[in-house]
Amino acid sequence: MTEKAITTGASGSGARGCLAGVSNPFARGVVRSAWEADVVDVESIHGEAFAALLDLIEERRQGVHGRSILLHGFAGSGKTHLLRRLRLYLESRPDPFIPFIWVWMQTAPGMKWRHLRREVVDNLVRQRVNGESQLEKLLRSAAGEFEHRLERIADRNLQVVLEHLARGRFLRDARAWLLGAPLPDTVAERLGIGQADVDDAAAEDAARRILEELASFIRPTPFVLCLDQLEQLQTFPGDQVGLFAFGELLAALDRIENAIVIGCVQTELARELDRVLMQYVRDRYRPLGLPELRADEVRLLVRARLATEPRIAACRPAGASEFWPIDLEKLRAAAPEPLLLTPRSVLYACAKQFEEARGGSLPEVPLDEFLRAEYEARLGEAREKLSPDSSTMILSDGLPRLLHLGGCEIRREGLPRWLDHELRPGHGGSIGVALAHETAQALWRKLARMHDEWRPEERSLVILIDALHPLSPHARRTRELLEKLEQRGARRLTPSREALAALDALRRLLGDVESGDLTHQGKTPELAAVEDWVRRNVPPALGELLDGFARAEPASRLASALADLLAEKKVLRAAEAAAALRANPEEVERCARENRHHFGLLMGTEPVVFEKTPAGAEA
Amino acid sequence: MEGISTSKAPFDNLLTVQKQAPGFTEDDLARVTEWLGRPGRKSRQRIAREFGWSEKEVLAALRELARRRLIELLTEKPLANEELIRQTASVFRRCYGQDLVKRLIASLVREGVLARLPAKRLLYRPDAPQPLLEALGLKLEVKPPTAAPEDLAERILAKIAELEEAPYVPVIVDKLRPAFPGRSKEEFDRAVVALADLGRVYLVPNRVFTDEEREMLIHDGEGNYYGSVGLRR
Repeated sequence: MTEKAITTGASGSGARGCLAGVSNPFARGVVRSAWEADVVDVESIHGEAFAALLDLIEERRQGVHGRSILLHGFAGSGKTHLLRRLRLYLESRPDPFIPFIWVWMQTAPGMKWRHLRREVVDNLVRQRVNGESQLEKLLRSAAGEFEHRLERIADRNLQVVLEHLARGRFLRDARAWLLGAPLPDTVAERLGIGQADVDDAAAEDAARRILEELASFIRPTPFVLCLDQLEQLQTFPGDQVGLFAFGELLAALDRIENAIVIGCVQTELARELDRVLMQYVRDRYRPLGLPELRADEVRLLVRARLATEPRIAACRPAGASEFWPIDLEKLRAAAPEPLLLTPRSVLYACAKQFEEARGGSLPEVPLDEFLRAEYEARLGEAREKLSPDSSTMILSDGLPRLLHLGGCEIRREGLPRWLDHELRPGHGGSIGVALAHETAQALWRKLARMHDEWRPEERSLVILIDALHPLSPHARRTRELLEKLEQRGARRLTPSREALAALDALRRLLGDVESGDLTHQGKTPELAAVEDWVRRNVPPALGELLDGFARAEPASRLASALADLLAEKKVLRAAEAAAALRANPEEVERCARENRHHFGLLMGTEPVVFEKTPAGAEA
Repeated sequence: MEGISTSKAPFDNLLTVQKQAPGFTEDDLARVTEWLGRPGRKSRQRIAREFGWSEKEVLAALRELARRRLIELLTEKPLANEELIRQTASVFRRCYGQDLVKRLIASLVREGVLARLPAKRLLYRPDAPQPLLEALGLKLEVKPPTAAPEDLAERILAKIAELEEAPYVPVIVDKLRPAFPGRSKEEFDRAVVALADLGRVYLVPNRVFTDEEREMLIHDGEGNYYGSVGLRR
């Protein structure tokens, strides 16, 4: 393609002045969602990969169930951009209708199915294509064999809800149920559906079954399911539980006959994935890599972006290349060797050149200041979106991330059902964390199991009841159980709304860095630098929450163990108590002093500790 | 008939090297072998009449059987030239005489399939020298040849190409490094980094690793560690 210069009279400072009023066409480098509008797309970039995605869709449309695709690419290589192109392609060809679903996988591994259910349904109901939601379109196309399709579904509630939606009844509540939101009993009754109090494991299983049944209902229509940023299933880099969850998800979804699964993962995760994923998972997908930009593609990209600002051509000096003010030769030097050249790195380099051409420069914001601004933006969004549905996810995903930064080892596997995480602080000991977000009955059952099975000498216990899931004033038995647990040394923490919003903002900030969606001066900041910033800038509301964990450490376990010992012995010399508890006498004395409402301490030649009765508690 | 094996298993590699001449198959070779084992006068003309082949085709089939016989004999132990010729020709009952076997041996030596040890006038299989070494009372220490640096770079590139699951899906170093056991970490890392500098490969940073893992990763000498490598196209 020849590079014809379009000449004008402007030159030098005239050209700079001319550009001053023109917005930088290279400023926007990140596509955050496949549903974004107004994105400049150069169709020939990643053309081969796009063709491979279309081949996969055609294959499934023909009923051939080959392997799903796992798209690999460096941060900024254009994975989400490519999925957006796929969405537009499917929308432009409405016959046959193939629903498109895009899910950002920032969730805790233990909540992946609930997250997926909510996001799949949200895509189907919220995203409107030609004025109609995808779910409406699916229900309309099923009209001729609606009853027959309902018979494929084993879940009665899903049958009832789909019938309401098809007939335009109780739309808001039916959609809420489909999303997985708990409904008040009166609403459930009006809808004609039953509600079960289930624990986390059962809720995950239920979400998976609903998704499978929904897919079965819409069969034979295939649907595209894009799982973006699968690396976000990791709570922290190196988190193997997250990677196992990744593999489990891909393998399970691939078994759904009409699901066209396209996973996206950063190339930087390749080694961890390769070492952790089991063969049965690898057998279910084939990897597809995004190449680096070729020289001709760089030209196409620059040309396309320049074309979005027609005023640039008018400012072009006489004899200047059509790519003015961009010097393509200088772009070569900006290549991030030995990594691959990505669209994002090209766009950043062009953005810099553009600013220089108009006599300025891209603002060089120090990293700390940049991170603060990014955090504040996310905090504002988090405050607006905070809801009882989201608080559970925030705590499940965000709390381990934050505690990991504090030097805790996090364990989520092989724990009792009433425990969500186990923390091992750097200096030893073990803290169990239970999130109390269930419905009233399920919470009572969880606390009852906790009461029976928890051994204070094995681990401390923290029970989190967040501000959006307060205990009902009528939940007497639940309160009694909680008090008993606290008497034995468990600590109840109530994260405030502000703490939840702050935690959400921080987890999104960290997640964006890990997935490469946060760019500072054209590059993703080093994760270690961002983690360091987070440690130095923990918001006060979160700081209080973390202090609560610190206070739940071995000293409290000792109090609990001492309480159990004195419940039997009533009075003991401190030295004897210490020997029985494998602690030292000074620790026992300190524990008794710090817990005056539970214990008495008589100092003398040989200190004595005793149990305080309710009458003695007032002494 | 004893001595001629048409079984593929011991000779797989050699058989794949030796392309079959047009006109005969493994079944044909088996039939010829069986025919040679029957009583009665034997000649190439009789084989030709019996199988409906031309004499040229008969000769090609017998040559192949003789080749296999030679390799089979030398798999067990090295033999002097005269003994090898005698033991090979004897199974063909004048259909493939000693002169032809002698010429075949010379041809296989030229091809490198067989080799001579002049001092001892022994023939042996150079790809399986153990019987010769035992005969000579020697022990073989296997040492991988030290290739020139250019060879290492090309071999690394070839290995990456072999292991890559798809273009632009990099190969993890845990699979690549063990393919070069005779190379030190520094030598291997230098070769890979040099390939990256030449634009032949791209490197993928490793996000997090333990001290134990550090040995496996590619280090560029400037504090950067890479966990996988891919070919640039």
